[in-house]
This record gives sequence, C-alpha cells and structure tokens, in this order.
Amino acid sequence: MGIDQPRITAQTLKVLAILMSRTQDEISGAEIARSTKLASGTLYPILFRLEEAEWVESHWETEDPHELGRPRRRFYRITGVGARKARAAVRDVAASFKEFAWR
Amino acid sequence: MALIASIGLFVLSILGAALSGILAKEIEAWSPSIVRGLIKLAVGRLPEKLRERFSEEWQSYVNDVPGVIGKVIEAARFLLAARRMAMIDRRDKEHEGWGQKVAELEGFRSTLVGVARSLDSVFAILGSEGIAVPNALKSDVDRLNQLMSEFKEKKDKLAELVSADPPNLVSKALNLRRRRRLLEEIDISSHVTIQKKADEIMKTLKLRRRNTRRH
Repeated sequence: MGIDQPRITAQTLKVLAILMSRTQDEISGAEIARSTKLASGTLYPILFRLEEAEWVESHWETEDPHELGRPRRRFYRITGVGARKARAAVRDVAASFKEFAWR
Repeated sequence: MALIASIGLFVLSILGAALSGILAKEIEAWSPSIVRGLIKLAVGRLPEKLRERFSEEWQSYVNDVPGVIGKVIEAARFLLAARRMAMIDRRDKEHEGWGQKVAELEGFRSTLVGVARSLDSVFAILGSEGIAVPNALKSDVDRLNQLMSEFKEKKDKLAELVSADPPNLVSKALNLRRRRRLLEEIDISSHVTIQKKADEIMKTLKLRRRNTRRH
C-alpha cells in the first residue's frame, strides 16, 4: 500500500496519542473510541487512512469466536514508521502553534 | 372542568408510560436485527476488498458498546464511516493512476533527452569535420528542443499537481481539473512525433556527411 501521508487533524492526533501511549498493548477499535471519545463514523476512516499509510497495523484476536461467544476483535498497533512520523507531525503542529502564539 | 382535565392528563400519562415501556421493549427486541441491518448496509457501501473484514470488526465493535440505543446509534454511524472510507479508497486509486501517468511521461522525457543528446553529438561531429548543417535542419532541431522543453515543463507541472495535497474539497476539485486540462494539453503521441522527426534529421545529417566525404 504505502499511500500518501494521512492528514493530521485534531482527531487523528487523538488516535495517534492513544496508540503511542499503549505501544505494548493490544487495543481494539471500541477501546480507541472510548479513550478518544470519537464516534465510529469518525474513528474508522482515520484508522483506515493510517493503516493505508502504514502508520498503523492491525490483526484479529487469536481466540476462537465460538469459544469467546462473541465476534472477534480487531486490534490496532502503531508501527515504527508510524511512531516516528507521528512524533514529527506533533513537532510540526507544536511549532505552528508556537509561531501563532508569537503573532 | 379542571377535574376532567386533570383526570385526562393522568390517563394520558399512564398511557404514555405504558406505551414508552412497550416501545423500549420493542426496540430492545428489534435492536440486534436493526444493528445487523445497519452494519450490512454500511458494509455494502465499502469497497469489495474491505467488506468481509469490517462486517466482522464492526459487529464486534457494536458488541462492546453498552446500551441498546448506543449500539443502534454507533451502527448507524458506520454508514458515514463506510462512505468516507469508500471515498478515501477511490481517491487513493485515482492517485495511483495519476502517479502512473506521471511515471509514463517521465519515461517519454528520458527517451527525448537521449534523442537530443544523439543529435547534439552528430552536430558536434559534423562541426569538427567542417561539414555545414543546412539552416532548415537547424531550425527543425530548434523546434524539437522547444517541443521537448514544453513537454518537460508540462510533465513537471503535472507531477507537482499530483504530489500536492489540497487542504479542502474546493482546492481538490480545482487541482483535479487542472490535472485533466494539463493532460489534455500534453499530447502523449508528441514524443513519438519528436522521435520520428529526430530520426529523420539524423538520417539527413548522416547522408550529408557521407556525401561530403565522397566529394
């Protein structure tokens, strides 16, 4: 895939912040939605865009859904590239705000 | 009169409470089907390759949402998510298509650069051997160089438009319109014409050189 860079909006930053703060954990879409307070209509296009750009990767939970008695969850995780680019994006945003504050 | 009104109000409130209770039970009973229906509808709007995954993922997402109404609302929001995701996918595909066009033009340009270099070297050889090049041929070569630089300029402009990331829908639409107009202006077959013309010039020059040597 490796499509062009995702647009960095306030909502995208919220999603990235959650994923960056829990790099060791497996975090599902519903958990991200709860933590960021984003609705599914906003969250999934962001996750899709981040995954297309290879900033984020996802995988199904390994347990059998029949044993779990519910549909399988899909877990998201930030990639090395994603973490690096997210930090750079945050620096850019912070720099713009600093510049704005001086005006 | 006031007594009748208050009795009426009392009866209405009992009826309302009973109805809302029934309605709540109905919604609760119907909610799994409503949620499934909404997810199915949303998934149907996604590109084919994403449907299977999100059909399962969104069911599990809704499963984690507390409350019947909450589940229905989130499922309804998937319709919006699906529309946006389909739009992103369409845009990505289009972007890839434009990228290929730019790469194709770059390939043509490299060919033309090769042609121009060959012509330059033939001119240099003729010059070193003191063979005069007819003015008509010189102007043909100038014309070729001009066409090549126009080709390059348009190709670079197109590449710039393709790599730009317009911030809003209006500028995106304008960017796309400019790309289409530019692509219409770039005559893809012109590189073939240029190459043919260059070959003709090259042949004429070689013939001239041979003839001059014989004499």
